[in-house]
Amino acid sequence: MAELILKNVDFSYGKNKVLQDINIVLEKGVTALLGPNGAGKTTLINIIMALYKPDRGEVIYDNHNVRKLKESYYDYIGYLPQMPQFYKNFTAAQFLEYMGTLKGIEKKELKNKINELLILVNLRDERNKKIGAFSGGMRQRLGIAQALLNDPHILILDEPTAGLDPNERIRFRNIISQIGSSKIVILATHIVSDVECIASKAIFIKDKHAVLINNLSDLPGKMQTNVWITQVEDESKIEEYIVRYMVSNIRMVEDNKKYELKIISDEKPDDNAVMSLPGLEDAFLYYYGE
Amino acid sequence: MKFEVKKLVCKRIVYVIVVLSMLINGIYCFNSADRINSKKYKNASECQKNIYKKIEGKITQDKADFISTEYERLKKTIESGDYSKEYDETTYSGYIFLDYNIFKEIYDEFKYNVEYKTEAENICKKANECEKIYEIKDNKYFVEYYKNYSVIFSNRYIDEFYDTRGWDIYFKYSFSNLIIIMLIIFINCGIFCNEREEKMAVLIISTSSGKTHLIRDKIIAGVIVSLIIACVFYIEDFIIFMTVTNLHGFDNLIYSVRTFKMCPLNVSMLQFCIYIFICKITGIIVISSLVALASSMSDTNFVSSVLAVIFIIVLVIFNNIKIKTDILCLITPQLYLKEYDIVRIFNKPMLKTNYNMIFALLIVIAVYTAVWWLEAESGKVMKKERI
Repeated sequence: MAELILKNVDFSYGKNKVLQDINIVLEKGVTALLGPNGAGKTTLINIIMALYKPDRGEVIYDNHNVRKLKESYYDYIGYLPQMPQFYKNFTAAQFLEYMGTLKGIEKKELKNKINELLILVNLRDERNKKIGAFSGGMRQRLGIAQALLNDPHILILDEPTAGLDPNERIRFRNIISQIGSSKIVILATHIVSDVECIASKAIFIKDKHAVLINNLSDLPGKMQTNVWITQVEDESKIEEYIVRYMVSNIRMVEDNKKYELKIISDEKPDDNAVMSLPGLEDAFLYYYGE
Repeated sequence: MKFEVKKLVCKRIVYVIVVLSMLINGIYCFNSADRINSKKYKNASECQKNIYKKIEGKITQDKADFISTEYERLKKTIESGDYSKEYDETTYSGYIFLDYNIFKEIYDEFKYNVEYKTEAENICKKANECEKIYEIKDNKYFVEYYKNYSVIFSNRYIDEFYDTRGWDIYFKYSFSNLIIIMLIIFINCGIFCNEREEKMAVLIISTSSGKTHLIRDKIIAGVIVSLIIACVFYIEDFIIFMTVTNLHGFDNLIYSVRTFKMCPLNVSMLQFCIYIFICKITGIIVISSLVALASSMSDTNFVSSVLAVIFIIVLVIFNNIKIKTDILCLITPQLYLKEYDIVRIFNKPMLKTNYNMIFALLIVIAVYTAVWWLEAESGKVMKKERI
């Protein structure tokens, strides 16, 4: 499968530079695009999709500049935008038929494709239900189905799990895992736990730059600091820890009598603290925490 | 394209508004048509219809004698003052004064039909005289103007008599135009901006057909929906008038309706109806194109509808200042066909409605080109979204 390459890409909104010197090579597999809100994830996606023209640099797919491929580039792309609403008065099947027509899929082939995809995303029984009656999770699944209509080489999902309940999140991860091995999948999110299980690589966007981590599982090991677990009884003391340290998690333990804090710090926060293995979320907080 | 039509019309609110609009138009239409019938003296209306039925068709001396004899008799009775105001079975309508009013109206109409030939010949004669005067003055425009005038009015006569009251009221009725324009704005204002408002725009332009075929399909869908709305209401008007006023005499010439005695078209009622229908449809397509333009210039339905209303107001202003380029004249063309309403184009006289139909087609081409460009540009390079 061809590679997707971003070469020396810069982008700004007016005088405000958003992305600078982006150099990334993507191959098949699931790549998480991580960054806090406002980091530039959607902007980068729009550049990859040739919807935004970079101020400098180029996007190359299969050795061709994507802007020169023009409309034919979209034959390779499937895209799920953030919080899609779609058309409330269309049924699921009608909507897929509409999107399939826009993607230039032949009628005969489209019918079979729609049936297959509705089964894949577990919406077969809802094919004649209006989208207006769908839950958020059902809409997301329908969104994935429409993104897969043209059997894309590049699948781009922008915040696909935002607003989903845990069951829907799991369902979604399973679908992506199924299809992710044969495509370039870019999954933009700020919910790190959603990609921990399915993404093998990650692009971190920080301070206008993007860094590609080729092996996600190595990331926590690259943290130049430690992760500690400590327990506190007095609720009022938690504030002190938050002010002094980077607290990645707080939860109640021992029948709600104590608070367990997960702290990222070079020094041991208190005598009772014990060292813990860092997770991807800890790494995210380490790189992005103030 | 069926999906684009579905996006516009398949909404509950649209069904409700259209049904309500048809109801309101139906009531208004019925009340207008029913003016032909007297509410107080229902017998008189029936009686009048029966007398018309008796004398309708080819104009003969017998019919002329019958009308004038009865009219003169009743006139004499009324002028003498010696008549009963009570119900009288021996009269046509039950009351002598109603009989007089009925026969006076029919007599005037009948006389108009019979004498029309002479009137047309006089107009022709005067037009010829004017033509000769302008020939001497070497004014080619007015020579042609009066030449056309005399050609139109030459050989005009009415040899059949029908009750044209229904036609008169039908051609005056224009309330449905207002409803049609409002519905077109309401239904079509989201044709382009809906995609931006529902955040489908990015999804659409990231498909191979999204940028070009979709624009074409949306334009066609907008025109189709506008034409369907127009046809539904114009058919409703026609059916109600047909039912209430008993429209007939489709082969009768348009100038047999007194309001149109100076109409420049030598056509039958049916041909006239077809002509004004074509004018109206052309006007509706212009309005549809302006609504599409408003939609392509906006990001929300609200802004689009406000902009569309502004465009219509501009058309209304042009209509009121009575300049030759007046698209709204196409929506009520019958008002401009009561007389020889001409505009001067390249020093040649041309019917105002014909001129505006040609101009309307040019406007439609220009506006839809602008729409295409706006939508294609907005899909090319997006710099609207900010994080």
